[in-house]
Amino acid sequence: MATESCDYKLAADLAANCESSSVAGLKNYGYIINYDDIDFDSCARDASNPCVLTTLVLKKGKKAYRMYVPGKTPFSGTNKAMASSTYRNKFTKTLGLVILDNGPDVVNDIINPLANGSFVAILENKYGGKDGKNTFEVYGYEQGLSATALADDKYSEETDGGWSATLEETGAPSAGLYLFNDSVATTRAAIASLVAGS
Amino acid sequence: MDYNEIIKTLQDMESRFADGFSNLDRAFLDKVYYELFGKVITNRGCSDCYRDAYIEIKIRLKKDKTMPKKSDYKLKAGAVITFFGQSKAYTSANLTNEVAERYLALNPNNANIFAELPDDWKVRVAAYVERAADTSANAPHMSEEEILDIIKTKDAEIAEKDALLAERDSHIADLEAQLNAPADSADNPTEKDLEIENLRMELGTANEQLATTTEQRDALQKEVENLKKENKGLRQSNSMLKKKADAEAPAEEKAE
Repeated sequence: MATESCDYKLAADLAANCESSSVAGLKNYGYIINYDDIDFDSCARDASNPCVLTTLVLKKGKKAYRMYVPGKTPFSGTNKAMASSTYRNKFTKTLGLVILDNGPDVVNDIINPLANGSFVAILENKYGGKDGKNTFEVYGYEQGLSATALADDKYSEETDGGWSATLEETGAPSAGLYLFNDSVATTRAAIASLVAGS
Repeated sequence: MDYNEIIKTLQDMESRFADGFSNLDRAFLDKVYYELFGKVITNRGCSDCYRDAYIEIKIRLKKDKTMPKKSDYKLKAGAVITFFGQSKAYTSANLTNEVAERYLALNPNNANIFAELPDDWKVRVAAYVERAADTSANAPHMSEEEILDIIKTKDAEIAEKDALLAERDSHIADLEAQLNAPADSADNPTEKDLEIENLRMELGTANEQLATTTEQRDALQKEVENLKKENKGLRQSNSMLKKKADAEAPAEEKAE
């Protein structure tokens, strides 16, 4: 294969969206998938924009799990930041969440797997963008999200005896990946089928 | 799960309806709700939402008396089928054999988004392609002139119907104008108005007569009362006189 040079050039104006102003924050519901459950061979990206995943499918018998964080600032701490590297800069994507529950089932089914597994998460932005393509953002698709912090503070006023978790994807080549198939409604149907499983 | 099993489970759950169901019940409702309606119960922490879902499921099953017929094809979780120019999206919840075969007919590589395919899916797809070809072949072929003639005829029919509608609209407008026109009874009283006026006068007269008669009756009643009192007085004096007369009569007999 011939060596290619990548064309890192701006292709649009750096302007604010006046028709549809951006809004901070995430919605209370998100979705988390075990990284190995994703059928990457069957996933597809938008031909005109590789930052858009048009199809995200799971292997047979697998399903996505819902995350729910109540309050006005759910998934607080979620962010993306560039990380300098020698040849090509990458991005670190961080997801913050709380699990307002505890007990042996929670530890066995959620905390222990979170501590050592690799995951992909889908969060819903409050700001959907002009065409809705910004609605569902995917974290961990390229490198997987891994836990960097998991804490159970019995006297924490935030978690009330539950767990706080921070998951991180490091070395992601893309600054953002979005799940969008034709329309927001169709994408929601796809996510519903992720949760329902096969 | 088949229809009878689901019905039995729903009946077992009825006793827990008021409590909002257990976690196991909710997982069951999630599954059945998605199978029936293709949607998920969004608010997992809401007891009322699960009660509503329970009722919706019961009503749907009672109406249909069976679970929806499942397609022989099953999509992987997250896979959605859409067709260019159509807004409807198909997932495993609402997939039909025809939709699956239509999608596979577009490109056999689309099979990679299916979790389950019948063994003879290629034969079925080929049969679908043949059926689709037959349908388009059987459609009557018309020349451009014929089509233009048909269009002209239809246009004429539409113009005729538009004229009829316009006529009816103006008739309706006339009728509404008549209904809404104020009655000018002061200048040009109608027969009905005169009749009403006459009846009013007659009623007035009858009321006056009634009042007079009532007065006369009251006066007569008073007179009757007075006469009764007089009569009573006369009787009393008569009886007194009688007694006096009776008392005097024996005294005279003694004197004789």
